[in-house]
Amino acid sequence: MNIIDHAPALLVAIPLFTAFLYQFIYYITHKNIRYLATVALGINWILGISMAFHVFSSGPISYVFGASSPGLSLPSGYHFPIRIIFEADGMSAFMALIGTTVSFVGALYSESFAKRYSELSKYFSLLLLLTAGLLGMVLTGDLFNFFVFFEITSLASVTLAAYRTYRKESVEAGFKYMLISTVSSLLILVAVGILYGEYGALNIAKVASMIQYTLLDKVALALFVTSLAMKAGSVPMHFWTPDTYGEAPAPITAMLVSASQASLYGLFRVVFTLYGLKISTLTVGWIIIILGVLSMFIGVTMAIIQKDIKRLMAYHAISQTGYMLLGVGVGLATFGTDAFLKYGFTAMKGGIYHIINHAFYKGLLFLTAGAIFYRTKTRNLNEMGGLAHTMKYTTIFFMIGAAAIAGLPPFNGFASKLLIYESVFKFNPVLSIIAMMVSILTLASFVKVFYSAFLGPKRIKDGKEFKEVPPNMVIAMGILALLIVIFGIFPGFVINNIVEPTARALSSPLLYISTILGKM
Amino acid sequence: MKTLVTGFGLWNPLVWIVAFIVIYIGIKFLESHGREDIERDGDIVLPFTSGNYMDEEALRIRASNVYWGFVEAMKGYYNTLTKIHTGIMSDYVYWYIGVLVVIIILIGVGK
Repeated sequence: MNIIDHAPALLVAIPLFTAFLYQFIYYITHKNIRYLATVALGINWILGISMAFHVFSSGPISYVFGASSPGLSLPSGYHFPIRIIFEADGMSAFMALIGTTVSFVGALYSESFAKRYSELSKYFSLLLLLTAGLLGMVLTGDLFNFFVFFEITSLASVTLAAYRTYRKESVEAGFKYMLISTVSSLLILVAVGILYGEYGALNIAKVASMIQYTLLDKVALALFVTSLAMKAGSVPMHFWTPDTYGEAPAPITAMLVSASQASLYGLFRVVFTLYGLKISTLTVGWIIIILGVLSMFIGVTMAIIQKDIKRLMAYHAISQTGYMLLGVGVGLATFGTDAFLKYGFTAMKGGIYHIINHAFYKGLLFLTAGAIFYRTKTRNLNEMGGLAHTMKYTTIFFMIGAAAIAGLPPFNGFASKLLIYESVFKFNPVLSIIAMMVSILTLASFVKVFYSAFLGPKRIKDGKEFKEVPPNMVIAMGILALLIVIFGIFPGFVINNIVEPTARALSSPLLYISTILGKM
Repeated sequence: MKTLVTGFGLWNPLVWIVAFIVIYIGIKFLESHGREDIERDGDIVLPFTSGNYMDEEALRIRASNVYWGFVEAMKGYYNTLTKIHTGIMSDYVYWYIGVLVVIIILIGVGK
């Protein structure tokens, strides 16, 4: 038995099982074993990396629950997949790679960061449930199952965002996140219901093979696009993002970024795979491009005027999501034409490369914001200063994250933005110029944060200097910083071995369908 | 492995890093040939504060004021934008419904 064959199921099962194990152990012993989540998610990380590289080199794998063999999607005599099926193609494996990395780092960081919270066992159980939910979203090959994992992710996220119930702002943030999650998941369910009513199937590959692009299909598509774009934090449905990202504990915010990216994955999966054979690529491509440009520009300009470090970073998360929408949107708008081969595919690669880069540098930046809050007990930039004197590691990690998000070479953000600038310029120069301008404003915004938080005279509070954060937190930030540097210095390796197989998988709906249904 | 080929050009981070090291060495070389008797905290800084002695804290610009000129120049834009960000939950849903309607129309009339 090859463990990789079972990886799609194990990636969800490990955090799910550990979440319940956590509560069970706590119930028996009344002790919090904080490292349990880190160990489980560490194993998941290794499994995620192994599965990703297996898929990138050998092609998609599927996992059929309850079948005599994990890859048996069509039992003899059937022309219809009848069981719940997970399908890990390049895009799913890529997203699982991001999810497992960020969740491991989040758990490691939380060991120290969340130590002071009450009900710690619940915190870690929810963190594990969040991981299970977001990995389920990116691995499932079933529409209703996608909705279920979407709900699991939302419920865990809402509870974690409102975890510090002694702060009324946290409760409000959790409530807002609950509202938009409920609205979007409800309408996703309506969209799934429409497709099920029309085609009598829930398997993504099966529905994709039958889709006709009728008026009802178009309504379902609009529901999918709007709901998933809102959960990804796209302008003008982004209002919840600064509220929720700002109030959630820092490691949870880093994971919420990945959860939002799982919604972005859902959006790309719907337009490229589910509707890929029939969709009006130009119309939907332009809708995604416009959402992207609005997100980029409004996100960054709103960030500049913030004085709360986490709200500022949350607006930047919106802005960076715009780059991903722009890159992949241009890919979709040119899909099926000569332009796709000339520059559309490169734009897609840029957008996809930016997804993983964003998960790493935005995760790192939120963790540095958490480190600052951990010591100074404030998120207000006006009340900070001089932290570089005593928090040297945090300062270096912040600089790496800030340089990466601003697209400064040689960090990873530069490589993905370069691909986007050059290819999008061929599509429409104005869009490319806006993207470059947004990068300049991003740099300006992070210069402000660096100046306000880290430079200036040394500050002393209650007769004490602000010390560096505990080793767990430093190591967690260090892992992401290292990945940012590696992804920046070896862009050719990342493109050839990770990004290109992912972009090829996303732009090949027939490959996804044939993995389940056989050759069409 | 290290070179990123964009289809329109290429980018090699090692060239950047080497250039960075060369520039750093150049700066250090120039610095080593400078005067050593300059007191960085002494009177040399006074011309920047009109001759007044000021503590470092007083010289700091608050984060809210860092891009004052930019924000002032974009006042109209920011007034509109901050008005939209009400923080009221029903507004969040109105925006969602508005975008949904627009997208349904666009996809509906699209080919």
